Amino acid sequence: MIDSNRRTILTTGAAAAAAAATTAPQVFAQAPQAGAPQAGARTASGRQGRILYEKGNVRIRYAEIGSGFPLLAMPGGGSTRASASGRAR
Amino acid sequence: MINIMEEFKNDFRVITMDQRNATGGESTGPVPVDDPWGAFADDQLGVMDHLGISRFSSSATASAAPSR
Repeated sequence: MIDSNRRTILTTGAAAAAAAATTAPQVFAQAPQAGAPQAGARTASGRQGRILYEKGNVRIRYAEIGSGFPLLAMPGGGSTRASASGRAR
Repeated sequence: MINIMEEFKNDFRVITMDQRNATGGESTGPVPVDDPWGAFADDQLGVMDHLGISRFSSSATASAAPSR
């Protein structure tokens, strides 16, 4: 069960990010995937690679890198992991 | 442009994902027309729960307008 407060915070943030896209310069445009890291590989700074989360008929491909306090880099609606890596169309 | 993954990997455990409706992405799933942002939030929280993370910071990027 997902806490409703957490859900509201993320929903509001995602909607605000989408609204900002209409006025922001084209710096976070969705980019085609290229050179995606290998799944599950461990590095000195943490795990890097493509990983899958599944719930019902939804499958989410995610990636993580580094270690320390978690930082969720939320892509905009319709965006891929590339948006967090600074790759633009 | 900022590469959030590279910029913060030495200080944070950075996690990102493909949205379920991303063109060229590897995530799949229906997007409910009555609450698409709620679905995205569910996915993001689901990934964090899947990883056992209850507290985290967040940053957001947004899809820009189509290039001309």
